[in-house]
Amino acid sequence: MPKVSVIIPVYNTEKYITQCLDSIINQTLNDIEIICINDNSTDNSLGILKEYSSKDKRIKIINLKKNSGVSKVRNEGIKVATGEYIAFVDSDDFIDLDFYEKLYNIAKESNSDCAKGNIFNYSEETRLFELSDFYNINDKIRDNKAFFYYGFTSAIYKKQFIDRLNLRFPEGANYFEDVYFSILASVNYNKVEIVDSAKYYYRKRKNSLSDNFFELSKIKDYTLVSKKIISYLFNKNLSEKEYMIILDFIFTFAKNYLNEEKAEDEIYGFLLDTYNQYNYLNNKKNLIKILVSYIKPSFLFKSDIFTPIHLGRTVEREISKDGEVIDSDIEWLHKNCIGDNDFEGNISHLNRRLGFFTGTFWAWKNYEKLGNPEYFGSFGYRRLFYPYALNNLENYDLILPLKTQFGETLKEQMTGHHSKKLFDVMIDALEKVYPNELENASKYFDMTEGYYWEIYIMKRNLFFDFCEWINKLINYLFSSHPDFIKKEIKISRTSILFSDFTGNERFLKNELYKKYNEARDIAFIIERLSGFYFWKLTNSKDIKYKECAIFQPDMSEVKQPEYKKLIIDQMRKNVVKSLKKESCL
Amino acid sequence: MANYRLNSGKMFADITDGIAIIINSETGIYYGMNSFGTQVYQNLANGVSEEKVLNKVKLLGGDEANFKMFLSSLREKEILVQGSDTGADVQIDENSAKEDNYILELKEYNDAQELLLADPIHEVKEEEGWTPEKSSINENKEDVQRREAKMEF
Repeated sequence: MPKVSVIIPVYNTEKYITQCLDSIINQTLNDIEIICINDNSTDNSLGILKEYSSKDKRIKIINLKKNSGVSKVRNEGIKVATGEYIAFVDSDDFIDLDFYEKLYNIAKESNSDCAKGNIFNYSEETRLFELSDFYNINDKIRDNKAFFYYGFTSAIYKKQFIDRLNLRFPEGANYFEDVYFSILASVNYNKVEIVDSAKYYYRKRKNSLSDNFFELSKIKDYTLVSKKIISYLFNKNLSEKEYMIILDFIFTFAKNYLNEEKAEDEIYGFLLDTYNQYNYLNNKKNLIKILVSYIKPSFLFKSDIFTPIHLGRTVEREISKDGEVIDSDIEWLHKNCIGDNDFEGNISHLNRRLGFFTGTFWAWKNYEKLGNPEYFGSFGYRRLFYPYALNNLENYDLILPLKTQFGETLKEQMTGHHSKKLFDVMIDALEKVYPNELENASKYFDMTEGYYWEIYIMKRNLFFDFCEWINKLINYLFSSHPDFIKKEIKISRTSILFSDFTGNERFLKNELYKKYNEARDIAFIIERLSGFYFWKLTNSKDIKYKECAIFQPDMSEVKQPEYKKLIIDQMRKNVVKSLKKESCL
Repeated sequence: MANYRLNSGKMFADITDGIAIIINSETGIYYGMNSFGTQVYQNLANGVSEEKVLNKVKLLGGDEANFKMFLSSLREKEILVQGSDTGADVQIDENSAKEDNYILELKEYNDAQELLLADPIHEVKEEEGWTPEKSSINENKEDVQRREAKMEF
């Protein structure tokens, strides 16, 4: 029995395969079998394989007559492998000559199901070796094996282990299939030994498919495979930490896709499907309901757990933070959502000043309409917890978002982002309504991290206490400031001059938007005060809480055209125009 | 043998698509050059000696008088100031010289003057826009101070 079976899927890599094969046939660990599966290449890859196999009897070729995709190809390799350990190399990558010797020896010595080396990127363009994006992953894996969700080719796996699990790649998917294999392996192997000095080189090709991150077919593969992973994990008795590590990775990937508009339905659909796995929570008793707040149509989160609510229905046509609404928007909102104005004493008309709270208020006053659930949650339609929020729900009283970190105190953040006046009004309200809380508030607002977004899940009694607490403050804010607490932003002269010069009105519009934002004065205060209240709860030893990441489009990833660049571009246009004009004359 | 450098205390330079834009942050006036002019300017700003650049310009078919006038304008406008020899080699693309008929051009523009003087060029994120003028923020400083004292911030 060979010590290691190396499986190499080959598809149109005639340019690279010799480097790959040379690095394998010259391994210092000689007792290996090399299984090359040609996936119906249309270039000379097969010819090269034949040439190598005629010189090295360790090389076996399987020639597929039909292109089958990388998952099926690797599975074919697993089927015929006879080695004690199994390894995978992509046909455009290569490895150090002692790669398998190092991994095999340590795996054997420690009787591990898996031994892992290190991955480096090799840039075809610059011909430089670079640290991979996951360069520090080995350290993380040492800490928790659940981090081994990436880099399966940098490892060898005991054949018995693969057979026992019947571990295969997900056929039909050509993307994220590696993550599937890695994760299923990592949650099952007895241990992984890591050898940092065993090096695998991943070739970054200029026209490589993996560069087109936003390709829709890839996004579909991603969701297909991720669903398989999650449903597998759901039935596996993982620790909460392991589960969070894996889901964090999967959903952070998904979050990146949200910047691609066409992928939104696919990604939000995947998120909802994942949440639906928790519908069983409401089977025996009404355990949890989460209101999802809408102002405009978007992906519909509606399920046993999610209840979509249309905020500000009474003022639905007034401009909101999400821009203007049209007839079809209203139609969608009425068809799919409950309204925050369907009871006497509602505060829907105050939505543009209060934001989320008109929905919270509805839930507070209509709790029986939700079925009197033991837990209540509040999400926005573009701001939800990663689904592991519901894992082991009944072990917790409160689920909060990860704290938002700032490079300044929360007080400075609020005064800088809004105004001192707004901060001042907030403190005034606390002073008048809950004077005993000022000392605590002083501590909280002097911190550089806090709870934001008004996203939470909490037990019914906590929710009622919270509503009561915040409602008193809101009442005071309204009585002391019946009108908007205006900062009175004037549109800056620069903004107008800029628009005149470049013809670009976006900055101007953003200032107008910012001005509108001031209308949400009390909403901003509520957000801060809610954060303060949640922080107080987390300091109580009677409250069990956990923090979860929030799933929302990552705005920092969206590249905004820069002011400077826009001006200089316009200058350059002017110069080119005048030079052309002159040469015509 | 004279050498020059960009007067970076006063001037901001950006070269994209072979066209140099130089902005005088004190006056709000900006300058543009044709491709040939941009290349000559780049060499001079990189510390290549005047002599080397002139020789290359002449070799390519340019005119000495035009070069002298171009350089004198760059100095007069305070775009270039005296620098030191960096030992860099002269590099001018023949094609762009040809496309510009071997003429070096420097043009002056004042159509962004008001904008640049109102807010000297710097990075502003679109989503944030400009910081509002302080006078437009309506706040009572005494009140804030009183509360701050009470809050022990």
